[in-house]
Amino acid sequence: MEIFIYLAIIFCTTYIGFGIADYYVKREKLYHELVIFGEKLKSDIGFLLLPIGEILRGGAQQFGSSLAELIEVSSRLLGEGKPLSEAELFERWQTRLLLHDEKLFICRFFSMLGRSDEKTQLENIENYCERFKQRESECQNERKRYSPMFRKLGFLSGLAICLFLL
Amino acid sequence: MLKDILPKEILDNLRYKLEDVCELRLRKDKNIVISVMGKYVDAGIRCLPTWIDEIVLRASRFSIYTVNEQLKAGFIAVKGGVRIGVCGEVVPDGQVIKTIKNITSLNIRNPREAIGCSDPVAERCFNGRLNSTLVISKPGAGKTTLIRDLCRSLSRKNLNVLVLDERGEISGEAEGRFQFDVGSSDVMLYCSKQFGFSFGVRAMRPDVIICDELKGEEDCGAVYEALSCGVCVVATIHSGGVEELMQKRSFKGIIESGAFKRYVLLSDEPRPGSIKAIFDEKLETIL
Repeated sequence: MEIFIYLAIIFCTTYIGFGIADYYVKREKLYHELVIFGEKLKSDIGFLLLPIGEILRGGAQQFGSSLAELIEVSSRLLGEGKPLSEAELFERWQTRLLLHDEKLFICRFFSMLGRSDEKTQLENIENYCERFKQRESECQNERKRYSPMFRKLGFLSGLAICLFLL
Repeated sequence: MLKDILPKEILDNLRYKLEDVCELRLRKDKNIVISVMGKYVDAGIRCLPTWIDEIVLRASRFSIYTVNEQLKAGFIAVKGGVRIGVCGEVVPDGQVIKTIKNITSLNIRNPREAIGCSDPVAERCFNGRLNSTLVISKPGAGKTTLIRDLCRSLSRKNLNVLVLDERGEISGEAEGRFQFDVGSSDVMLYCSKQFGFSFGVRAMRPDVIICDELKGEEDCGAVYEALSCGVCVVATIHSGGVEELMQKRSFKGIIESGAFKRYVLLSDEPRPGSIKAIFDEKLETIL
C-alpha cells in the first residue's frame, strides 16, 4: 500500500514538473506559429489581397490551440461587424501562456491588421514578425534552460518527499 | 450590400425602405440626406463622426489595403454593386496620391435593377445589326442600370457579351455571385478599361463589350482599338449632351470618326432612366 502512495506522489510531482516544462514549450511554439502566421499574412495580402476576415476564417485550423483561439476570437469579432480592437481582443483571448505585456503586444499586432494600405501593412507585419522571431529565440533559450530542469525537478522533488516520509 | 455597411443607428432610424433609397449622402456632423426616386430628402438623422470611419472600414471588409487603390481614385466599390464616393484629406506622395484620410463625406449609391428598361434602346441600336452605342447623361440618370439590362438582353440573343465591370457595379458581384441579372455575359471584374479591352478582344472573342463611364484619352484609345477590331462597344459617359461631349477634346475625334453608331441621351426627368433621344452616327435624331 505504501509503495502505491510513494509512486502516486512521484507521479504527481513529475506530472507537475512536466506541466511547467510544457509551459515553456508552448510559449516557444506560440511565437513560432506567430512567425508562420505572419508569413501567411504576407503572402495572402501581398499576392492575393485577401481581406483579413477571409484570411482569418480558414487560419485557425492550421495552428495550435492558443493562436487558433486568438484567430477565432478575431474572426468572430469581424463576423459581428466590429473592428479588431486591442482592448476587445485582450479581453476575449483567454491565454495563460503570456505575460500581460506580451499578450498586449500580440493583440496590438492583430488590431493593426487591415488598417492601412498594402505597402504599410506588409511593412508592419514584417516588423512584428521580426519581434516575434526575437521572442521565439528568447523562448527557445528559456525552454532549453528551464524545461528539462522542471522535468527533473518534478521527479526529484517527488523522490525527496518519499524519502522524507520514509 | 448596403445593410451590411451601415451603422445600426442609421438602419433603425431610416424612415424609408433601403430598396427605395438610391443614394445616401453622409457629411460629418450634418443631417444625412437621402435620394428617393431622384428626389433628395433630409433623413432627419445626424451623422456622427465615427459612423463615417465605421462605414469605410466595413466597406473595405476591415481591410483598407483591399480598397486603397480605389480610395486613391475617390471611391470604394462594395460587394453587391454599392459604390461609395469618398471625400476627405488627400495624402500626397510626390506626384501621386497615397490615400485619402480624415474622410468627411460619403456618397453611397445603391444600385437597382430595372428589367426591360433597355428594350427601346435594344430595338433601335441592336436590331438586325450591332451598332456601337454611347450612353450619355448627367450622373444619376440611370446609365449603369440601362447597360446592366443591356447585358442581360444582348447575352440572351446568343451574343458573346463581355462586361468590363471596373467597380463591380454592373454585375453587383458579391462573394463570387452576381446580384443582378446580366444573363450569360462574361464579366471581368475590377479591371481597368485599358486592360479589359486589350485582354477581352484577344482572349474572350466578344461580339459586344460593355463598360461604364469612359473618361480621358486612355479610355478613348482603348475603345478605339476595340472598335477597329470589329467589336461592338457599348459604353457610358458623363455629359449633358452630344454637343457638350464634342467640347471634350479626347472625345471629339471619336465622335467625328463615326466610331459610335448610336448615341443614347438619358435624363433623370421625369424619372431616372428616361430616354430623351437617340441619335445616329451623323447625330441625326432617330428617337
